[in-house]
Amino acid sequence: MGKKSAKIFAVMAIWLVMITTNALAGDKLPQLGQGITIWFDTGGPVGGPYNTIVQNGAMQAASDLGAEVKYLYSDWNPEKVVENFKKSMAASPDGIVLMGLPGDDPLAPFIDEAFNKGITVTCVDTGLPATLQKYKSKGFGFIGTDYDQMGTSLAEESLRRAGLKKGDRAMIWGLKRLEDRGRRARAMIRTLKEAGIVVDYIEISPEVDKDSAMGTPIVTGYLSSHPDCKMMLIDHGALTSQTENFLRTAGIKPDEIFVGGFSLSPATATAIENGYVDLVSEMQPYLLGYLSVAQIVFTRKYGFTGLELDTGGGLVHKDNIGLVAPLANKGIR
Amino acid sequence: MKTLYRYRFQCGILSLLVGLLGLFIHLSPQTFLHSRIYIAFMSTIPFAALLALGLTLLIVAGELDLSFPAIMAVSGFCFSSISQATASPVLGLFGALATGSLAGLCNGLIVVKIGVPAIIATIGTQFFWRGTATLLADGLAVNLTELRETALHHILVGRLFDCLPMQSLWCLVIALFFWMILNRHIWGDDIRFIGDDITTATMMGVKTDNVRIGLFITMGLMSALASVMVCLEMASWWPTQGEGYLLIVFAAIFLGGTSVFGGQGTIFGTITGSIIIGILEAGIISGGLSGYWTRLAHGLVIVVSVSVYAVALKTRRT
Repeated sequence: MGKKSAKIFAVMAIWLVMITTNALAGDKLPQLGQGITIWFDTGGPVGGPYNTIVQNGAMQAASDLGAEVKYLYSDWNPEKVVENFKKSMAASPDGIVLMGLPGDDPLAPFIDEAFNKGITVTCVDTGLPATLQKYKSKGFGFIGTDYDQMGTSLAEESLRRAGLKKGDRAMIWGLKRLEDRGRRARAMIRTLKEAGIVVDYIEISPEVDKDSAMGTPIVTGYLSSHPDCKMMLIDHGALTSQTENFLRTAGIKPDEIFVGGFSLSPATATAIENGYVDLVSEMQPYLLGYLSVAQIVFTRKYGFTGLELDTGGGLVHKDNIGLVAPLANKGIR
Repeated sequence: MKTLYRYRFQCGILSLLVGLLGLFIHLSPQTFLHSRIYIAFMSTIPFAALLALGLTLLIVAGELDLSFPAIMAVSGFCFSSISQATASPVLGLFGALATGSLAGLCNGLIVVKIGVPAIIATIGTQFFWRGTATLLADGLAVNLTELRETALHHILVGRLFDCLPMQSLWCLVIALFFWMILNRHIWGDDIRFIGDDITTATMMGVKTDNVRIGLFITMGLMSALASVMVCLEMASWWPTQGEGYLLIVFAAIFLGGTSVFGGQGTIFGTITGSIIIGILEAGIISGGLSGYWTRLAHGLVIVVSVSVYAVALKTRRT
C-alpha cells in the first residue's frame, strides 16, 4: 500500500468511526419526562427543613427525567393544601403531587375533578387510603410511611436500646393536636405504656414549634422536677436537632438520658456524634420527592398504576452517622 | 405614698411576677428552688427581651414593626454565612448588624418618607426579608457548632463563672441604656411627644422624621443582635428563625404596660413582661400540668393585665 493509499484509508477509517459514534449517540434514550408538567405541593413552609429535602428530591427527579416541576408551599396547613390543589388544577398540568394532610373527605371532590380532567394525582408523606383504593389503577399512589408505625418502631427500638424496665419514667414531647401527624406521638405513648413505662406527655406549643430556642426552659423545668426520667422521645425534627443545647443547659451529660427523635439535620448529626441524641428515625423525605415525580412520569408515559412505597424505617445512630452526616449538610438526608 | 402611686403599674406587674414565681415554687419546689431553671430562663428570655426593648420604643412613638422576625432570619443568615466564609464570627457579627440596620432603614424610609402605614409596610418587608433569607440559604439550615469555642461565643452567650449566661448581662446593660434614653435623654422626650401627637411634636421643633427612622434602624439592630445570639446559643441557623417570637414579644410589651396608642411605656414593664411570658410554660409543665394549659394561661394573664391597664387609664372609646 502506497503512502497516498494509506492516507486515504486512514481518513476513511476516522470517518467511519465518527459515523458509528454519531449513530450510537443518536441511539441514546430520551428523557422520559420531557413535556410533562407537574405541580408539587411540598406541604411545609418555604425553607422548612423537612419539606426542603422533599423538594430537593423532586428537583433531582425533574432534572433526571426532564420534567417541568412547579413548587407550592402549604405551611403544614390542611386548608392551604386544598387551596393549592385548586390552584394547581386551574393550571391544567399533567400531574399533581400533594401531601394528604386534610384527609380523604375534604380532598375527594377535587381529586375526582382532577382525574376527570385527565390530571394524574399522587400523594406523599400523609396517606389518603380511600382515594388510593379508588384511583390506584389510574396512577394515584402513596410514598411515605404510616405515622403510627413510625412512632411504634422508634419507641420499640428506643426501649430495646435504652433497656428501660417496667416503672421507669420517660418523657414524650409531641404534637398530638395535629390529627394525622399526632398519630406518631400517640403511637409512642401507647407503646411505652404497654411496656409499663410511666409516660409524661408534653405538647409542643406553636411558639416552640416555630422557634426551638424557646424549648430550653421547658426541658430544664421538666428534668429538674422529674430527675428519674430516663428517656426522652421528641416528635419534632427541629427540637431533636437542639437537644444538645437543651441538655447542656439542664446540666445533663452525654448519654445520661436516652434521647430518640425524628428527621435528620446537620445539628442533629452533631448531637448524635456528641452523645446527646441516641436514635433518629427518618422518613427519608428525599425519596418522597424523587419517587413521586418519577411515578407521575411513568403513569403519564406508560400508564403504570400508583406505587405504594414505605420509606420509613431509616434509623440513624452513632454507628452509621459518619456515613449519613455529610448528606444531611447537602439537604439529602 | 405619692411615689408608690406614680409607679403603680410597675408595682402591679412586679407583684404579678412575684405571685407567679410563688405559685410555681409551691407547685414544683424541686424545680423553682434550684438555680438550674433560672439559668435556663436567663439563657432564653434575653432574646425575646432584646426584641421587646427595641419594639417598645417604636410603639411608644406610635409606630409598629411586624418584620423583626424576618429581619432576624436574614441577619442571622448573614452572620452564619460570613462567619463560615471568613472563619471570623466578629466579621459575621458586623455583617449581621449592618444587614439589620439596612432592613430597619428600609422600613423607616417606607413608613416615614413614602407614607405607608407601619403595619402595612412591615407586613410587606417581612415577606421580602424572609424570602431573601430562604432564597440565599437555598432553604437549608446552617450548622454552626464550630463557633462554640470562639471568643465571640464566650463574650455574647458564654457562661460567666461557668453558670451565668452572658446574654442576660448584655440584655441588662442594653435595658439600662434604653431606660436612660427613654427617661434621661432628650431623644426619649421626642419619642413620647411623637407618640402623643406627632403634629404637636413637629410644631415643637422635634425632628420627627429622623427620630422615627432612627427607631426603625434601632429595631433592625436589636433584631440582628438577638439573631446572632440565638445562632451562637443554638449553634445553628434555620430559615424559619424568629417566627416564634412575633406574638410573645408583643404580649410581653403590652403586659408590661406599654400603650398600643403610643406615648406611654416603660423599659421596666417590658423586661418584667418578658420574664413573665418567658417563665409561664416551664412553670406550668414543671407543676405537672399538660402543655395544653400554656396558651390558656398566656391568654388569661394577658387579657386580665391589659384589662386592668384599660380600666386604670380609662382608654374605653365612648
